[in-house]
Amino acid sequence: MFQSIIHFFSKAIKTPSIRKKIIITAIILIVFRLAGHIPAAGIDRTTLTALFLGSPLLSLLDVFSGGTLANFSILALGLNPYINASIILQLMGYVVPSLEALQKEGEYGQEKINQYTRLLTVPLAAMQAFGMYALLKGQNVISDLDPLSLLALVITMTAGTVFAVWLGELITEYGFKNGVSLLIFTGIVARLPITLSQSASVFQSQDILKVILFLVISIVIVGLVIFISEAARQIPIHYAKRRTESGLGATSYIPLRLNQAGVIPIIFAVSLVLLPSLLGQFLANIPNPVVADIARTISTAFNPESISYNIIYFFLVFCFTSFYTTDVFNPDKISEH
Amino acid sequence: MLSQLTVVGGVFLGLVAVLPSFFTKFIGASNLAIGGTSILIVVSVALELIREIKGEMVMGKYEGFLK
Repeated sequence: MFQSIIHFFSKAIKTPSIRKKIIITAIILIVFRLAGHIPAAGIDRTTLTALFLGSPLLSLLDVFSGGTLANFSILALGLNPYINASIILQLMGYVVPSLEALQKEGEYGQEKINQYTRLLTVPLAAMQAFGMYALLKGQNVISDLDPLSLLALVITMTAGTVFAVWLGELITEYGFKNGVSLLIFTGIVARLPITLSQSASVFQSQDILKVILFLVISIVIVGLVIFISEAARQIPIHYAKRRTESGLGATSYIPLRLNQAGVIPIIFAVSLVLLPSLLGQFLANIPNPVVADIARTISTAFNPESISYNIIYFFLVFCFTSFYTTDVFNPDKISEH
Repeated sequence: MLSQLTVVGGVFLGLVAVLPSFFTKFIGASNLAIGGTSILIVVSVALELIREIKGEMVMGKYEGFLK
């Protein structure tokens, strides 16, 4: 098995076009990781780290910034505003007729929508930067900034997000498809050693059962995900003019995958399900007791460990997968090819 | 049939996404919940990447024939 893996990669590297893509993607990823380590001004790093360790919500959010939030770098917001912008445009397509027409326009329409997404990313990033500042100020991680420094912070964060989106699109254009999910991927993978070493440092011998259970669950989940992603129903294509030796035969197949849409719906679902609790945390610092109370209720209801969170999360993943599949895989379009 | 497949796929994905956090409840290690979503994304992205590389390799083969 390992031999065939090695064989696959050596063959991939020997193919010039793939080699070029790998090199370009790697360079861009390195730039992204480097930029993710330039800290923004005015932050108390130790308090920040403690805050992140204590909150599962913030750590989840960190995952979707591409792993750049925990050290509050200039890329702290990362790709999050961009993902939110794409969700908004995707959903608006079902409501606004002119947008829906654009979505069906094919490549030109897609290009237009991408343009809108980028434009929408900028104000969203500015808003989220301000929200992040308010959140961190409430937790005493950041001192009161004068308006000018606050403006500088917001602009830095926004520029960082635009930079990250640009890197993602560079990958999409010159490297592998779907640069944005690749950036998120690197963020997660880069955090893996840190998480593991943290777990190892608190490891005690009576935890051995938990560790084994955890390993088993991880392997089962990985196996399940691969199984689902690769599962496909082969639809035979019959050509009127083409015949095989055995008479009329199906010569090729359209693979109808169980999960046509890939990873995007999952990313969408997670960002959406995180939104209410983030808002809740943000509003909990408001002096008005009624608002703060509502906010606190929302935060507990949407705590990543609560049941309501998981139910909603499940439904969001399900809905986005269905929506996306009907978008990506349009039977009428396929039949025209 | 497409809608049937999609329903099955969606339910599966949703379950996989949620499963780890239920296990977390029973085991009680708090950073597991993050792990579930992350695993889902990492594995799917890796699979997509490999699929793309494979596609590209097949293309390369055909180009070799034409030259």
